[in-house]
Amino acid sequence: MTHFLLPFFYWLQNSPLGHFVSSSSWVYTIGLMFHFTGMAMLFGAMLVVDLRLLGVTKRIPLPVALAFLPIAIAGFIINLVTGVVFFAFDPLSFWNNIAFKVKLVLLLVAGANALWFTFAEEPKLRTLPPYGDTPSVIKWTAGLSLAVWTLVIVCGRMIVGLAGLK
Amino acid sequence: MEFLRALEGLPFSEWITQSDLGYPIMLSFHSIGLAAVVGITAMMDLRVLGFAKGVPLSGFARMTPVAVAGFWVNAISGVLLFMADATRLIDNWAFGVKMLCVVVGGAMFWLHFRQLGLARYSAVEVGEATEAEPLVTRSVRIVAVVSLIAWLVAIDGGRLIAYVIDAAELGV
Repeated sequence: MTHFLLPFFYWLQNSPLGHFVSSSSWVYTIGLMFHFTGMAMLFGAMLVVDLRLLGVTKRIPLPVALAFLPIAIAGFIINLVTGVVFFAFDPLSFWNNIAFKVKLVLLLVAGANALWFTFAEEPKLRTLPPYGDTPSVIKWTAGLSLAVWTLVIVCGRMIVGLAGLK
Repeated sequence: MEFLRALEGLPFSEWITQSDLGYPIMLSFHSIGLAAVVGITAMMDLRVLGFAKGVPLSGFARMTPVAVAGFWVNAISGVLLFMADATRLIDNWAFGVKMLCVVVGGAMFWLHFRQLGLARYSAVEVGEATEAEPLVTRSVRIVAVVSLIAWLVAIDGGRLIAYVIDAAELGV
């Protein structure tokens, strides 16, 4: 699996981006500041949305709770960009790190869940009573979202832990 | 210093610093707690400052227990992480900045809870118009700005703790 990606890893590490991230330890440090800020934005916004869908905060009218989704998307984009920067530092080490692969799979699950919600469930929200309960499919989607994002955070820490760093 | 060294010698401290999974497990808890407490307070701060005006502020009342739980997860994991590394952290300026910001951020959260009177909405399950929405006054907005800044600097200070330790050990 690894061998056919090696040329790409080599290219990335030697690209201007790869040189940039290796040029000073400040790049990685400042990148991590943004990565953790993006994490708080994404997780915080998802908590507002998912807790409403789960029925915890019924004072918030159903479709209105989704107004926080753009913050989640902004946080995700910040973390995608900084994540690619970290990856360019040492692509092969990341690829050989099991926690990194688990994190990628979890991100795919989170993405599929978000697409499912957006296209299959979200249109139904407007037909539901704004201060009422949601159907169990939507509750499962919201619960899965919170569970997966929590595990994504754990995997991020495990990537560093398994690399023998702190 | 003797006391700090004794803290580092405790069995749990040694488990954190010397086992493979000690740090990643403790830091996982610390990161989840961070995401919960900073995430929810930041969303409330943004709402106070005019973002997503359709979302009633009273809706945040039932999210405060989640934020408070995140705060306690981080207080406990933070104390344990400090004990494991006490002699290095006590001299770490980034650690000092972070602790100050956490105290300020926590105080702002408590102030918001009082100013907005969130306690009176937590018992109301459905959006009944039994209570009027809290008023967003100038002081509520100031608290939101201070809160956002404090938590942002707390996160950055937390990241810098590791950088300051690395720099000291590498002699940079």
